[in-house]
Amino acid sequence: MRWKVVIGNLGSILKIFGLAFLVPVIPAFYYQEAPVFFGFLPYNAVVFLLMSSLTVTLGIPAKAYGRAEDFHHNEAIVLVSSSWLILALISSLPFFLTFTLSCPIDGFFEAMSGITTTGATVLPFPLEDHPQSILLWRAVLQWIGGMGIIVLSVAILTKLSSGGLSLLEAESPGPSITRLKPKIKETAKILWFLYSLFTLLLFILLLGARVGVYDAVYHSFTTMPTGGFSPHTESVAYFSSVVQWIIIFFMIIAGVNFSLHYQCFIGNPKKMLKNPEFRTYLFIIFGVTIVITLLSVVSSVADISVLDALFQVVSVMTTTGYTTVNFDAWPELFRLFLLLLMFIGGSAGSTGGGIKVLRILLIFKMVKRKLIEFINPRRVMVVRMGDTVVEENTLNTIAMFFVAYVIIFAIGAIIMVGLTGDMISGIAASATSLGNVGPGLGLVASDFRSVPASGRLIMSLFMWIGRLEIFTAVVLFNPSLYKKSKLRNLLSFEIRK
Amino acid sequence: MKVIIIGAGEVGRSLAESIRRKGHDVIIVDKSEKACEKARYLDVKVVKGNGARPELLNSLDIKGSDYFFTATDNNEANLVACSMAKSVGCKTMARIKGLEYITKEVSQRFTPIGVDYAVSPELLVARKIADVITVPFAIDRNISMGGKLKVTEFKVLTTSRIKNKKIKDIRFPKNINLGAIVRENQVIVPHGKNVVREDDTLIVMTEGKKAEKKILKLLGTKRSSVERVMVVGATSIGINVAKKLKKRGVDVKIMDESRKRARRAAEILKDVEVMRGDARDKNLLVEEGILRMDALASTAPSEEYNVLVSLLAKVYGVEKTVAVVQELGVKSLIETIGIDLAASPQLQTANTMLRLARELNPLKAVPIHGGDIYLLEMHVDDDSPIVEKTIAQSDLPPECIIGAIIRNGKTIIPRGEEKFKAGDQVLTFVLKEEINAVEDVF
Repeated sequence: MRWKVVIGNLGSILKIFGLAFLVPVIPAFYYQEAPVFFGFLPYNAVVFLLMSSLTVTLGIPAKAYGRAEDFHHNEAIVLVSSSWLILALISSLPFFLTFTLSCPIDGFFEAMSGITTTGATVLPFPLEDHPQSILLWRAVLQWIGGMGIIVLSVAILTKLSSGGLSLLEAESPGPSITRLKPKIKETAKILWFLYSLFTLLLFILLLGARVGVYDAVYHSFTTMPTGGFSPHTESVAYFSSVVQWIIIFFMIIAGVNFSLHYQCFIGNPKKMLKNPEFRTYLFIIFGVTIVITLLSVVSSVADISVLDALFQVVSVMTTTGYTTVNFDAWPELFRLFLLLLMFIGGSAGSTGGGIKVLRILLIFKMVKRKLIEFINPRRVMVVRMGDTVVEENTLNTIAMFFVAYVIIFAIGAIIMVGLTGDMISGIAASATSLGNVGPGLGLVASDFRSVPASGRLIMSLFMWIGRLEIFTAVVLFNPSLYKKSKLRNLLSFEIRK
Repeated sequence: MKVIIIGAGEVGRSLAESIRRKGHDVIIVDKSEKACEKARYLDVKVVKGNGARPELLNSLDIKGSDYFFTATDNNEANLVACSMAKSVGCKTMARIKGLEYITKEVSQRFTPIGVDYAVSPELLVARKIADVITVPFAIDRNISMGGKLKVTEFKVLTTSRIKNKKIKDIRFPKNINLGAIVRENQVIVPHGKNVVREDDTLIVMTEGKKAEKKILKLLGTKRSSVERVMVVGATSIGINVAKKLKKRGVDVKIMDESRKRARRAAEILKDVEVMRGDARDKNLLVEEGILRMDALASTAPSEEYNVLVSLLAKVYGVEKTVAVVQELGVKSLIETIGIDLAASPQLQTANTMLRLARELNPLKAVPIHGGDIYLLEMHVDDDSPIVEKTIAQSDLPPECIIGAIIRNGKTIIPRGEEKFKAGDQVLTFVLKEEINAVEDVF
């Protein structure tokens, strides 16, 4: 472990991230938001300008101190996991510098919820009372966090490209990263290009549906990363049904593997239509929606329209977290459906969270294989995804991921049930945080304000663990990573010679 | 004509022998002294050395050669040698082992580097096995005229409806022609009064699917294909047999004792049951349903293993068994002990190469039943003495059966009164000794 390499690259990332603080300066100026004025400058604009320069200046000495060299796999993992923590800490500062939130833990929660695209909030309602610059800051965080700050850095910085694959694998969702181009930098560029393209498209469509510019920017910033923040207390219910349909469509897009979008983009839509994960993904979305709508009609326990059912299902399944109805008031069975959807999440290689459809699909196939092997131990079978055979090694990692996910969820559920005193709320809080969804059930149905500060801190860490898909995040707690550092240094030195 | 063969293994020697018999000059080259020693029994020139070396090839005067075959164990050497031979104008053919470079039985994908035909022994033998195994009672099969006509060797079992009947009483439908009966290794040219016995092998020419169904009905089954087949040995051959059978809708199970090979089979074969286990284990065979199997193909690398497994399957009442053998000498021996077909990749390769080398056999003769009888393809020229004569009027020897006449693209299964016309293509079943006599008539 060469810390200098980690710190040096962290410096580069900070320099890029610092620019993000400039976006909220625009509404801060426009709306003249300020408790106090500094000369002609409104206070909130000053805060964000200050934050921007501070972050950039923090990056310069870090980069100067560190070494900009190729890194090894372990350094890549530490770089990714630590930079997400550090960036969340830095992004939390504006929340109490502008006196929006008083407790640092709340700020950290809000920033982490933003950057991990969770979308859970501790801001007091109604949201409309808060400064537009702060609200927009949450959206900016989600947009950057969606495709990933590391992917962005790899796309921009030349230095990161040589060890870039390790970085991308550590950050991006899903079991494996598909190289769209032989060069990892090109791959990162394409991902960000497609992501920006979809964001722009959604923005234009929203404008066409007569949404205001600010709201259109906001929701295109928070839909594509499957984030879920909204500047309105009633979330997307604030808008017309046309807008809701548009947002449903783009949430579904955001939950699809971006390499499939790329295939469509280069004129190969068959690859998407034939992809088993994509098919399963749509099957689950529409299957659950149909079941909910039919059951609600047949049993007449609740009056749920197709639009409402589809919106909540897509929002929860893709781990976006917008709401158009209070689904916490739905019958128990439907609430259970939504809770289970939180675990499944989006597709691998999408911006969605959760376990991922691909993993769930492969786990089902593994279980089926085990059953057949149990009946006939001599049977030799492989697990296939479409026509490709999945390596045993990959299957093993996926099974372990699933187990780790469930264990961590259980730990979170125990803590949260203890802290809130309510079973459903605790379970939902743990599931929604780990899956980067946002809304939960019961006490955490719309926000996390009824959760004590310790619970908020733990759930912030759960979002971080969930976003980095457990292994990358948890590795940071592994003491051997630090102990062996001297030995590793020596080894790497030897190899270099 | 002058022919050079690189590699004096089974394929090389078999090729050399056949080509020599047709009266051509053959030079055979091999690196190993042992292989050269074996080739010295043939009436050909034997040269020891690396056949891919330019110096050696020049010393053999390849410029004056017409055909150039390579059949060493080294694919790359085969390709390189062919490439060099092509540059001086030879027609070239290479045997390509394994499935890394080749995906078709006979491939022309190497023509840009100077190989006219690349031949895959594994795929050829896999097709042979699949062809034979799918048809009930069939123990060998040749296909002519672009798949329209099939010459099949059927075995007569106790269940057969034509058993102990005189041929004139059987009343074969049209589109079916009986070419020969093989009884205890004796070829009998069929006449009306001959009686079909159990364990006879009938050599039958059929045209189209309907004819095949009818002959199968006569032989005592309503099925046109076997239903369940076990393949033992997940080698390249075994995997391809399974693949082909699966394609034809047969229920296939494949078994291998090695976990690695079984896993590879599972990766390649979708929807085929792959088992790990030693097929010599009787209990295991029974557990895997050997009693319900219609056929078994043993395609493991070892021929002793294949023979053992096939015999074991026979014990359990499997109707048809096929064993892959490497040594050509044991083929007929194995077929006499009850295994229906001893399939040899080497023999398939040599036969295919010979067939592709058209100029080497002006007589288009396909050996049937190990070469005791030939399917001869003759062309009726304008000035042929046979034009406008019926079969009975012609001077054809009585041991010759006209299988089919192809006239203007149409196939005719002829009766005695059919007249030959100029431009006809005539397929005849001819005893080995009679080939020259038949040739003279046309």
